[in-house]
Amino acid sequence: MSFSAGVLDYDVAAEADRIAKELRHAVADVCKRRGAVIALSGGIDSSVVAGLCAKALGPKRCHGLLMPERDSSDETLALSQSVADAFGIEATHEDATPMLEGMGCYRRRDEAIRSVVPDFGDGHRFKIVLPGLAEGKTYNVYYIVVETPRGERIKKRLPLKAYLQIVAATNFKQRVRKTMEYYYADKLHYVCTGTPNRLEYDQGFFVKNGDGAADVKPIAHLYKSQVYAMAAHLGVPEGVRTRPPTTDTYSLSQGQDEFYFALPYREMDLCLYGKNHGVPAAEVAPVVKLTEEQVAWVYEDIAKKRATTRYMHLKPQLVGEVSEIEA
Amino acid sequence: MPHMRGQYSHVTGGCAEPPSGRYRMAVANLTVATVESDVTAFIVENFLFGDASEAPARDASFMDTGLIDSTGILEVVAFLEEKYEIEVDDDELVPENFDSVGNIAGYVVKTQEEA
Repeated sequence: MSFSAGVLDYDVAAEADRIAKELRHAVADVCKRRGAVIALSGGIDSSVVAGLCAKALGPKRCHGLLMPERDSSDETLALSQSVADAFGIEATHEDATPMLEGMGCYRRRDEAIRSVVPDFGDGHRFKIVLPGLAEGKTYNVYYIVVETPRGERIKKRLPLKAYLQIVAATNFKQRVRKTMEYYYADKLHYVCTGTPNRLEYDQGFFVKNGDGAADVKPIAHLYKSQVYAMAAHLGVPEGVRTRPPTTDTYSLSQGQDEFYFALPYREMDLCLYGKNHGVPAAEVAPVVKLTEEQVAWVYEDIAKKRATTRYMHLKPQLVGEVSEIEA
Repeated sequence: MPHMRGQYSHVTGGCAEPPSGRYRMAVANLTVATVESDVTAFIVENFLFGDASEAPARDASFMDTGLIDSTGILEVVAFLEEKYEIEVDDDELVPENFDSVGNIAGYVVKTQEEA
């Protein structure tokens, strides 16, 4: 059978039932908690996790958190609330901005940006981007794109120190949110959910001990295209399902494909599936409308990102056996 | 005192900024062997915590061995820019120039010759 986009089709209703059953087992039997906390970003993944938790545990055993901050898109809060409403989940709005200000997130980040773009300040917006497929064989080093108040764009390669400080400061966002999620999880005796899809989980597109921290990750095995299909099945609001994937982390609008993945998610899914199933690049190429060489490059890029983010999945490394606990 | 990027006055006779375009300063008597030795020493100290027994062979691909990833390459670039007072252009940051000790040495020496 030849390779086609149909490889990602699946029995959505049956999978929703199976996930719900596994979720009940994970929450009740393994974690021994009474419900689930879901941070709602207004994106597709957290919305699907909310729908699955509501289906598995009942809406009254779910608590949603809406945690936009200064750089979040204007529509984030309303979209997040619409998801909670759609599934009948109680949700609390916790503005993350004052916490992030307290930790110096914005100040530390802007200081690093100014080491590269000295005039960066009020009215400027920015994002960081990776070289894409068009740039050919190169390293995955980040560039900063700054838009001045007059609309001019400046793009510069980030040197080591600035890059690390911008990432370190920005990671406060995911970690502050997770801290708040665990406050509610502890208070309610609930589990904390993680919302990565398969692309994100496989490729390390998360912050360690930030959005990467969770007691259960119900959709980590689903390709993003499959998450969209699940969203339609569960009744995720239209506004969320039609919103382009965004990091919603930087002040300048940024798609996930320019921040991290080499391709838009549909093509990225198919390349990841092809690589995972040993499909030759030449067979995947016509389906994703790329050349064989480009798909081979994406395969390599997937392997590189897997290798460089391996540490994000690791538990703390022990240097002596504690067999009673590790078993 | 280590060379600080942006402080050009001590090498340009009082000019606070490089005159224009790409700025490079030749370091006298730089050979491939010297750069290989410097880079290997940097890798041993920075990536291997001083364990010289794990030092990479001159032609070993960093990508293949997994010794140096993209962030590691930025560390190597920062080292080279400070050590040899060069600037690595965006289009030069490719595996052909950076994926082994030998490639790096060849790139640095060639860059010096063009300066």
